[in-house]
Amino acid sequence: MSISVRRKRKSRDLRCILFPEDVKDTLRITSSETKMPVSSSLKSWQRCGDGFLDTPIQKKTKTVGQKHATARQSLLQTPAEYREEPVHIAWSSSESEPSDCEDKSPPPRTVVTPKQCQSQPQHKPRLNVSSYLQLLNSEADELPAIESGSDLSDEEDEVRGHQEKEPDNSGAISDCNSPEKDKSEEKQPRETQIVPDVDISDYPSDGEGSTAGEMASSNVAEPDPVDSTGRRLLSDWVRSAQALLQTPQKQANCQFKTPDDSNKKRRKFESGGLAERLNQLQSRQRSAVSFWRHQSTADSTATTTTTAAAAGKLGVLALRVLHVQEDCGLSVVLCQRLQEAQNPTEEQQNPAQEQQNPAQEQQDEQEDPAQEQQNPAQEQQDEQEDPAQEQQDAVEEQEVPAERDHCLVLFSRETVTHLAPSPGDLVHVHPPWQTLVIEGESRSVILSTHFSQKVLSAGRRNHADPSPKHRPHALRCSPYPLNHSWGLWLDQRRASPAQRDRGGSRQTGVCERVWPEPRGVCDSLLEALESPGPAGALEQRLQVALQRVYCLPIPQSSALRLHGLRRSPHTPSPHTPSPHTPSPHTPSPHAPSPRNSSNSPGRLCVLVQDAWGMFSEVQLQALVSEEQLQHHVLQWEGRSCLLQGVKVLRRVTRDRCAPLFSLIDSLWPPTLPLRVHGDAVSCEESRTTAPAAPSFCYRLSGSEASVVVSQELPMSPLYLPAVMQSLKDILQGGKEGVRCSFTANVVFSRLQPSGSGAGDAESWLLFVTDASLQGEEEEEPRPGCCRRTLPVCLSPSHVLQRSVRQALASQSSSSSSSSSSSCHLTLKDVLLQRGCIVCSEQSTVRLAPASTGASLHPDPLAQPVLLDQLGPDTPPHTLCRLTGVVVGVDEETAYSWPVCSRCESERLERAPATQEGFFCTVCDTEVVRPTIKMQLEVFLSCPSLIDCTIRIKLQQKTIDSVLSSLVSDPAFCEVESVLGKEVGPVSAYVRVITRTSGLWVGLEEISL
Amino acid sequence: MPSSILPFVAEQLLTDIEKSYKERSQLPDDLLIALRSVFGSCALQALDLVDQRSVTCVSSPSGRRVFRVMGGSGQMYTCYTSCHYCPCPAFSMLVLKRNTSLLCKHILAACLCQAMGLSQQEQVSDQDMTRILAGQAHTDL
Repeated sequence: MSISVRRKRKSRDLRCILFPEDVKDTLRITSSETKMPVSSSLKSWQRCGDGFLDTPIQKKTKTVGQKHATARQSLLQTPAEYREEPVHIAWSSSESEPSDCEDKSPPPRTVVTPKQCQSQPQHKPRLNVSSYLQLLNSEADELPAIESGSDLSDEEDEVRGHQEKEPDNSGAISDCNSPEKDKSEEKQPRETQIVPDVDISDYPSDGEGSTAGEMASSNVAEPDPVDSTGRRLLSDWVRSAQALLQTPQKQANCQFKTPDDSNKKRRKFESGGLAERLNQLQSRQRSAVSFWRHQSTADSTATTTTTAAAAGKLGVLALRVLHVQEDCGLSVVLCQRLQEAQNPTEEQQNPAQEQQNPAQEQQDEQEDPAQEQQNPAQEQQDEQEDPAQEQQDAVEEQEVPAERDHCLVLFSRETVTHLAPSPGDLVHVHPPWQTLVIEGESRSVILSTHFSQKVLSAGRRNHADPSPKHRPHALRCSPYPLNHSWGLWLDQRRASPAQRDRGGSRQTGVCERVWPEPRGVCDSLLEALESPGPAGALEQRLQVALQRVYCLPIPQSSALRLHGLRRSPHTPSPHTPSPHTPSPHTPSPHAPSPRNSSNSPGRLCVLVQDAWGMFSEVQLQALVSEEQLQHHVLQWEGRSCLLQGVKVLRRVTRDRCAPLFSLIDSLWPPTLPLRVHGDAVSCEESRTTAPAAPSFCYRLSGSEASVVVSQELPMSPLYLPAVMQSLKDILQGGKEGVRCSFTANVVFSRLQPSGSGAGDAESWLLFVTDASLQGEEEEEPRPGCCRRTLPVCLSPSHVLQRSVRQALASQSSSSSSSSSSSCHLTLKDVLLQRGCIVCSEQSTVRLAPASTGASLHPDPLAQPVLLDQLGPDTPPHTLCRLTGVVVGVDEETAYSWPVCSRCESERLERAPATQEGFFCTVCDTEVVRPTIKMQLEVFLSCPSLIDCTIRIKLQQKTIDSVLSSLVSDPAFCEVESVLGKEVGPVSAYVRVITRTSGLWVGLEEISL
Repeated sequence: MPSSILPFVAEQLLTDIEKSYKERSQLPDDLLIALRSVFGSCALQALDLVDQRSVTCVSSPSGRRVFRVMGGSGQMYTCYTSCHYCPCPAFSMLVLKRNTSLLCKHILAACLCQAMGLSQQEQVSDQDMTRILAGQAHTDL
């Protein structure tokens, strides 16, 4: 034992010993929750005299505050001790106890922990919250020594943990070590001890600690009557203590006192190792068990029959306990497998059976769906049938037990404390449980029986007290002989490997009963995930609805790899455009460079939803062409399909992947009432209360063959198609971060300069409008409300299809010359963020078919597009319309340059032959009179915007009109001649707005 | 006193583990859960020892074999192939004294390592083996 423990214990070793005269006082005092007077203990101390001089007990009174902590510990601990070893009063006469103690039969000591009484009302609510975390934390406070333990102390911890649970021997040890104390106790036959800290007494090597803790539990179990002064009060106290100790919440505590819990906290397991895996499984199981148990106890207090109601589910093992024996810490219970819970159809098919078993039927009728929901592990049992099960179903419950119906059920110590199985009991074991078939053993062994429940039949309910006090002590097995040994197994295993394979007709080994079949079809994603096969692949096929089909960008590195490895199984589509077809003229710097357009449009992805409402994004193969994507969208979206051969990539949460969840939210609530885990039939109540949208989903990866579209159903009933809205509805009713879909005309587009400028990261800014925004009624501009155009940001994470990119590029290039081209786009599942539409990962943008576009939204570009008037509330990055008078010219940024008169190329070279002419390297001709292009930025005074600096970069057309009155060479005109000229109305893009020192608006003229 | 069924359960479980590990070189979750169910808290600790490859199968020319299991802080425990015993305190307390456990984590770790073929092999001389069996060898071997 480490030193730190010793020090800690000594520091806590504070106790008061009271005397018969004081008992009454003390009890009264404690009940009135006042501090114990120092004088009383001093008086007792003096009266006792020399008898106590030898006992190494520090006598000190404690403040209530000091006692508080220890009281809490004893609250947590005492029930454990009590329950684990209910008959351990017999151990007080164990072999290690001095004989004189036995002869004189040590006087009954009633140990009172006044803090226990005091703090009981205060702590009860705290303990009622049966949160594991809290309990584990309190445990950690209690066993500080474990943190600093060496390996040896590790072993001792383990041992000590058991001692705490079974304090018999340590009690005996300390009795031996403090014989003086025993004598003194004889002198004071009815002493009452105030025990500040139960765990002092667990310290076996320390003679100074009395056996207070153990005696506390033993005496509580069988209180002896004391004298007339103390009797009534003590018996009252004992009764209350018994009630306290039998509180179910307390019982739950004891399972955390196992040594493995404290060991687990201390040790960090090797990452990816078996221990880590088991640890995770274990903690998952533990919380599932506690949740289930909590719910089932809560339910059983409400109505007892609900315990039996669970029998209506398949997979629940109904057992009649025949014999119980304790085997190396586990309880091995010989059980008869009863007729298992019938499912409703079987009941209907066999009415005679129902009559024979009216009690069972009655219980089944009272089946509470909520009860079944509470079993977390019991997910979707109804599809499961196994032959053995059916066979069992045919057996009547009252039939003479056959040998083959017998099985051995292993219950852990924790389960036994809750279950207290005794012969004749009816026990239901809920899945998941496991079966182990042992070679040469006819009876199968049932393992992992954590979800076990005792079923109280109507007749026995009255006297069926689950109190462990009445539990008959199970027969203990003889210890395993040391000469049989595991070594024997080790050697035999080596010697005759063939011998083990001789196995008879029966398949031996562990078989998981819970899952229907290893390669069956499952409609729950979570359930399929519970039993992943090797390398994380889902073994089961999963029935899902294909909600969305889209494509995701492939990271640059993997895109290259895929490009190299890609082998198209199909012949290339005739529509596939030849790579890198540059537009005939690429004069605009906004036009996308061909380098940006990667060959692969991206990776095909589907968003699927299972019948339970769970979503997952399945990443499939890289797409070869855009047409392939369109094909999949048409063929797959909305269908129900089977997913097979998919692997789990990762689990994503709402915080980590907001865009995906905004799409999921737009698909929520589902059209159908979802099935709820743990419920066999989709219950009607879920229709009224829509469950919250899932907070996590899984990313899976698969291949092209992973999606097998069901041919039977044309459309999945779960499918929620994207609802096309008008832009006005989106702007007015749309909330932030909501997915929406619409069809609109692009009035202006520009390629945003991206940060890195490399690779596929191209970001477009579009301005779209539709008929709803071009309506006549919106004559006067309403600030901040409904606008004429809506900006759309195509983020780099969105894979822009080639056709869309080309359409946009041709529009932006042609916009300077003519406004004839229009781009009609359908945007699906785009995000509305801060008044701007954002196309992110899961959005799809494609060219709208001409027919639907015309029918739903008449092309607004038939007439000139209306824009908002520039006003004081115009936000930046919008389009506006303005008229104004030139009040200034930015001379520093004004310049002119010659371009080819034919192709408008800037790549001119001075022709060597002539003095005036140029030679165009693009169209390979001589340019005698080049077109002069100008860059001119002017300051305008705008009637709609008083006291505002408006600076606008004009387009060539406007510059020409401004300078047209000048006769001389426009390149050398005077500034004064331009001032006062009227400009507009022109359309402009609002580049920047600053309001630091007066309103300053930077505009760029555009042509629509 | 009735005889114990648990050793048979344990043996079958270890056989399954060996088979499963041979086929997939991995232990499925249900076997881990079954281990935990049969061996309780020992299972986790033993698997931790397996993860750390703490088990060495020591053999000598005479044909004797023992398993040496390194505890968490370097303490070496010798588990014998011919008898069911481990000198660790947990074994004496939980198995011998209380009979609340079938084995200790060291024996279980040795069994698991042997079943999965993860024990390290070491050859020693007969003299060293004698010292080990006599309990005179310590961590130096």
